[in-house]
Amino acid sequence: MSEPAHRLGPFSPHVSPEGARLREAMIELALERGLDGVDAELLCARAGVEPTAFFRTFDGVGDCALRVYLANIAEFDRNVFAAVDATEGWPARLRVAAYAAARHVRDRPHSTRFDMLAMLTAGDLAQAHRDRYVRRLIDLIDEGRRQPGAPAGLGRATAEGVFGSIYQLLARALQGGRDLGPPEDLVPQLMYIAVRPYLGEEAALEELSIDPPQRIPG
Amino acid sequence: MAEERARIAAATVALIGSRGYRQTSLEQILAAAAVDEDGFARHFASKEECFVAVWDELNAAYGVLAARAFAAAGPWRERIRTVAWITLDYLQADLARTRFLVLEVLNAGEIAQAHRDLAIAAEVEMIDAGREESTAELSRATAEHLAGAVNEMLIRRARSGEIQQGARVLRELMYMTVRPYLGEEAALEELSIDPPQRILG
Repeated sequence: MSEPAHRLGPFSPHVSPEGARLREAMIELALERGLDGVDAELLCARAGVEPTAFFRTFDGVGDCALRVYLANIAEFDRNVFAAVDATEGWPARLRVAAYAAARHVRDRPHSTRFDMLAMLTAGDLAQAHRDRYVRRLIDLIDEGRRQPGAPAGLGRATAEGVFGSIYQLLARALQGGRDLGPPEDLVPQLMYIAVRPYLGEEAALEELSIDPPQRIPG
Repeated sequence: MAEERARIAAATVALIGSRGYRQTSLEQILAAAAVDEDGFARHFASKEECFVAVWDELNAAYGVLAARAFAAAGPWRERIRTVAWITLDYLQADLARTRFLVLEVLNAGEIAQAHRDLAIAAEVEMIDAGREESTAELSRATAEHLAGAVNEMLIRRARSGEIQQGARVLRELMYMTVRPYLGEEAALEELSIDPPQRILG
């Protein structure tokens, strides 16, 4: 399902085919050359967009990259949290989020690399937006603290740590140019990491053999 | 010459640590260090090169403290805990330096990122030594995940300024770090262990 046009702004294909081509070109070039190696001339040439049209919409390459990033994370956020909001209980909510996220990543490998690697060096504003969506994911992990049997001394830092572990696993695979593999293989490992601090080794091990949901709600 | 370089280094850390890498110009560093362009060029070719050199020096200074603590005799769990407390102590001592080391390295270009990756590899080594005392069948990937956990926590706490209230966070990180290697009981103990006196006293 595609993102509503008002949230994707200039990158919705419903609003502008040039916007969709710029988004694709931005991602390709940033992955080929790094964000600092992309200039407006190159970007416009790759996208087949007139520079005058580009500068009517964007302040420059940095602005364009940030808005591509925002469009990407809006799609991610919508896909993942629609599934979470339609699911009851923890860790079921976390599991369904993990599958929704893994399938999103599988279907958009280039934009995922762009979001996780190229945008790491994109400055404070991009970091602030990253923080906003990361906070929602950490909130979701942090629900583990309220589960019966979770150790009393745990705070939010545990959820931050779990998120960091998972992020590290994914970023290393992407940096190495590796395919993350099918969600059905990846998600149980991530769930094992996420569940263990809260529910213990036995519950974490069970995650390794839980079948994926037949369909992702939302 | 050495005094000039030290002034540049101090100005670089203070300015970038408070304003950010992208928001700090070379001209601002020169003014704060009271050196001209020729003086700067005697030591560094660019702002980026200066950042990386100063980052390396600070990281090496911290690394000596951490490595010395980790090389001491004793069980892995105690040694890694001492390193954790040393790290917190070092980061709490100077918040501009902490932002420079932990946050601004993310904004300072690919070479800086590569140097950060090397520093993280050293963290992974220390954590991975837990396997020598573990009965669990674990791979190096466990230590890589845990290093990711440590760094995410540091980034978030450095950004929010909450590194000053880091004691509880550190206990949680020790809980996460110890659990895969030494099991639940040992990990739960970590949630109530106070800092070693020789670090903070």
